[in-house]
Amino acid sequence: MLSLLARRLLGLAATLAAASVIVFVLVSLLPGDAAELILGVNARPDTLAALRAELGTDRPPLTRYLDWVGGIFVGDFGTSYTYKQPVSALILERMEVSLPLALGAIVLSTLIAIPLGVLAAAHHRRAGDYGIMAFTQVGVAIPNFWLGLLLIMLFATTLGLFPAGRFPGWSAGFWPAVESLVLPVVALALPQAAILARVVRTSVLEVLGEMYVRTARAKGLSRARVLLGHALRNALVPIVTIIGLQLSFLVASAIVIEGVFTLPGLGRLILQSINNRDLIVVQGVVLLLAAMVVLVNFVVDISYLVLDPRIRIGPRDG
Amino acid sequence: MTARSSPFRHPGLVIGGAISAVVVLLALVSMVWTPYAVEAQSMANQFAPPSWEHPLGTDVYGRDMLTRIMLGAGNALMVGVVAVAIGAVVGVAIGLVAALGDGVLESVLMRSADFVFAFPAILSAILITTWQGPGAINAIAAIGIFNIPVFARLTRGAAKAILATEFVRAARALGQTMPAIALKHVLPNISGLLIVQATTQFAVAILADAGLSYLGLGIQPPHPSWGKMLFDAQTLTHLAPMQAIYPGLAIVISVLGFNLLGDGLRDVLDTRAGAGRRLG
Amino acid sequence: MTGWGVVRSVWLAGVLVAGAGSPAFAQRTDVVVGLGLEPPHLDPTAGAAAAIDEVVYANLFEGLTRIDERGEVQPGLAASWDVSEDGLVYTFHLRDGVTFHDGTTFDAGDVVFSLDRARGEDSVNAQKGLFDAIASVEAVGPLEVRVTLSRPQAQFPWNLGWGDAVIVAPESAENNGTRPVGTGPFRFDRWVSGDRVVLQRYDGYWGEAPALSTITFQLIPDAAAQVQALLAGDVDAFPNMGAPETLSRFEADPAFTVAVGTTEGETILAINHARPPFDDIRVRQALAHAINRQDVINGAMFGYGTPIGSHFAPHHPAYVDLTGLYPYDPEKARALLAEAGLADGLTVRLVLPPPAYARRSGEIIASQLAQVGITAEIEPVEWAQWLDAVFTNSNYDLTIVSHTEPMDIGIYGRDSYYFNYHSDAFREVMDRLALATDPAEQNALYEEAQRIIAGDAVNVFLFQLPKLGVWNSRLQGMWVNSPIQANDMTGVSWAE
Repeated sequence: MLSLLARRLLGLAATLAAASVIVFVLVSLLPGDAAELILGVNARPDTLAALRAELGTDRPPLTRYLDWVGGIFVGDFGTSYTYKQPVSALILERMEVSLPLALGAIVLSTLIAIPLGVLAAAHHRRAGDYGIMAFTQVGVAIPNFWLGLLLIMLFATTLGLFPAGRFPGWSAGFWPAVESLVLPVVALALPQAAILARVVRTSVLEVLGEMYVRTARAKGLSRARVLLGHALRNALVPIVTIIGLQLSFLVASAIVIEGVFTLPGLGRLILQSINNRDLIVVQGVVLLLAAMVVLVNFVVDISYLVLDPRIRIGPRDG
Repeated sequence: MTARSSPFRHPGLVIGGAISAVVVLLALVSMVWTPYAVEAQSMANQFAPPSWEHPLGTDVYGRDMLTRIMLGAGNALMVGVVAVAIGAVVGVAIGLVAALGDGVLESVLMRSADFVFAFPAILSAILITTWQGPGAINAIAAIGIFNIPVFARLTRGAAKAILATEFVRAARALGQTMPAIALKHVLPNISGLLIVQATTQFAVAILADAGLSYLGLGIQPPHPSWGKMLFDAQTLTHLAPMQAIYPGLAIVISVLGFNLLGDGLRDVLDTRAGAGRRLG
Repeated sequence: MTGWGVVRSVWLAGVLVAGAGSPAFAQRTDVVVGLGLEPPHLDPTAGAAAAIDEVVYANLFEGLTRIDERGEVQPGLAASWDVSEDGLVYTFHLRDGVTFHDGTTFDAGDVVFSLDRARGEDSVNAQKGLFDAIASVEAVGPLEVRVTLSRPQAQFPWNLGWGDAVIVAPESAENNGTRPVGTGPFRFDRWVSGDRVVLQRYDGYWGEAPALSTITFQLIPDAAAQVQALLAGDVDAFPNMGAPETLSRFEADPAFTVAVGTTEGETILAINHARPPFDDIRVRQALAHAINRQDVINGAMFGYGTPIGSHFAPHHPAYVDLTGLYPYDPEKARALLAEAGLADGLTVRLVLPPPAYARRSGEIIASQLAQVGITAEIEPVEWAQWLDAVFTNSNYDLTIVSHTEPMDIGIYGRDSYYFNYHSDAFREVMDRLALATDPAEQNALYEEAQRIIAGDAVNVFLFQLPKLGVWNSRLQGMWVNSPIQANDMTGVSWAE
């Protein structure tokens, strides 16, 4: 168990190291450069050269890579070419929006999905199941940005219950900030909840079909105890996988949703930085997102061991 | 009440099949014929209301909306089919090999999958299209790559759970080789999960393409996509609200149709779900 | 050649109807101004982004001169200036009692520092060309600066009015990107990245105190969200609306002023002459005949925008209307193509930068070109790619872009500019123009220049980009036109 943990940690480090190289190379492939964009159409070759020297983009790639990675170890992600601010400060600032958005969406979608999925499985092939499945079918099918547009049209423009977008900042007070995140969180969470509810239902049904549950049932355990005690617990493996996968999907969706609701989050930062060829910011944010997803997957891996006792007694991991 | 004996008694399957058939038909027809040419514009006909000439009216450039919705269907289907096929074929293979292989191979494969996965589809698509230029093929490639680790992780997770069962251990004790076990016991047992995942991913692929197109990274004008049509319609809601409704409905209806079809097929084909029903 | 006369402005709803505010409320002194693009940083001397000037010009930073709403040069930090007989020596008399926002005093040393920094070897000034004529800058006294030019340059005071020529202090210049320190009536308060920049009134301002006490520049990139923000009252003014189609929502509403003004942006379908068959004038004429300008303006700009027939702003007195030179005539376009040996048509790459005017015009133009047998493959790119591929390396056939710099017809005389156009006749006119001092003579030369490039069908000239503003009708003093890219808020106030 401990050696397994050590192996996974080593893998984690290797993944992150590889990620930093790939991110750097991928980003270096993008055509155009920051200096041209900053100085515009009347730029002179000498001013371009001066700016490139100032930004350090004229140095050889290996130097730039080592400099970048070396900095990360001491918490320095470099200075943005366009914003002229430390990349870490930019990221932290945007996290104030992106983190609550992603966490809110994960929590809300899980809170909706697990009860719905279990309920549907419990009423398998009865009215309750069909009703819930019909609901999730529609939920799965709605693009979250279209849902966002419809939510704005209904709750912001017509009813005036929530702001149509923008983030006033936590400095404006807790409630105004939360209020501005309600519609985007719902737009992100509902389609995710629908996907998750379907997975929960399927997983619970799969487990219910397995021999040992039938045995437990035969031993006279109540239906609810079988459902929650055995079926849900054992169905958690695919469920946790999907929740883990959703995090990365949410980050991706947030790029679009942040656009629809005009939220200054990481997604917008990265789009803007790509457009501005602010490569040092792009590198930093992409690596951070990659690290986040790798870490979440690591946690999901570890939780397998905790959630599914069968894996622990399996032929190789035992 | 045995649904398995008569597929047509399954309402989801019938509805889903019907919707899918219509969408596929529209998409196929659009490849050889549309009411108007793809680039046909008529500025005098801006935002024409529905009529016999234009059943869904016209858009901001006076283009026929029905033509554009039909061409959008063709684009959506192509993206969905190709992207999911890439993801499923490569992903299931990787997942099985990882589950069956030794610790090192498993580690390498799953770390690589994590690695691809660590770049969310839209992000990798943005980088790819910034590097290679926007377009349908790059969008499909990005979505397809994103699908690989989804199938890989799911296959490996489920396969490991099955490999750990007493049943499989018994088969191993009886001398069956691991590849044989994978094909005979693991694959059939996880096929239900895979079909559900494939339908979900089909929906995700169409939706991801809609998202990419909404950002302007999908198929390029004059060829329409539903996502781009929604983006274009967004600022026009006060002049022509239906422009923001038709493409959205088109996405929802076709995704819904394919999901219902997939679910129905699974219910009809999968015996293990039937076992669950008997228990419930 | 400073101001160019009366700027035509179109008011669809006048600020004259303003003034209906209730006296029961205290006078508002804060304003929220919407921006479509976020400034990358706030140092106008180190970047070409219009959004920088749209926040800081005249509000936070000031130059020796300033450009007013009509495009005319006004005194700025220099109260007055003298020019020597030969036009080579400018002596600027600086204002007394001016302080920077950090409390340091403004004097001749700051002017010398700013101009030398802008034209120096390490300069990262985006408009370094503005300072090309300067031979030396010296402080003659604490409030007197002498600038010697290497050649006469009539528009020198106008050059100094650009945002790129503002005066900064050596103590703070390095950090102006994030914490700008200027001499203007508003000082920097804070910047929530990706969201807003806030300026506060500077109490130590040398001139007349502005009516406003707080300006918040609120970033709203999405055109639909811009409309929502205005309707909800979250934003008081949007000087440059992102999408022309949204204006109709405000036109009938007395609570809003819709101001359609002009910019210096000539929007063109640029042609790469270095690539055959575009070196053939008949092919370029065919392009011109194939395009229906009014349909482009209607479809892409919802009718806002004045058609142009050459590379010149219609509000300038030297403007000649050449839109009739190559009228929309698909038959003639086809005939010209056939004459050039392209009867079977041709396929071209149409590269489109991100702005909506370009993407939309591109879709319409591609459809119009298809009707004369030209297949235009649309290739949307970002600015970085456009600058790299199109502008720097001339790797394109056709592109659509708006040239927003004022009075930039001279680009047609530049070597290896991205059109790759070369005309000795045009260059000769430009050479004569550089020496011309009489306004009438200048205008005559400008007219000739317009006729040459129009006749050569260098590019297809589409329309002058409009400035589409919407604001609360009680807001007074907003700029309707955009002679430079700025939101000068110093004269803005709320009606009582």
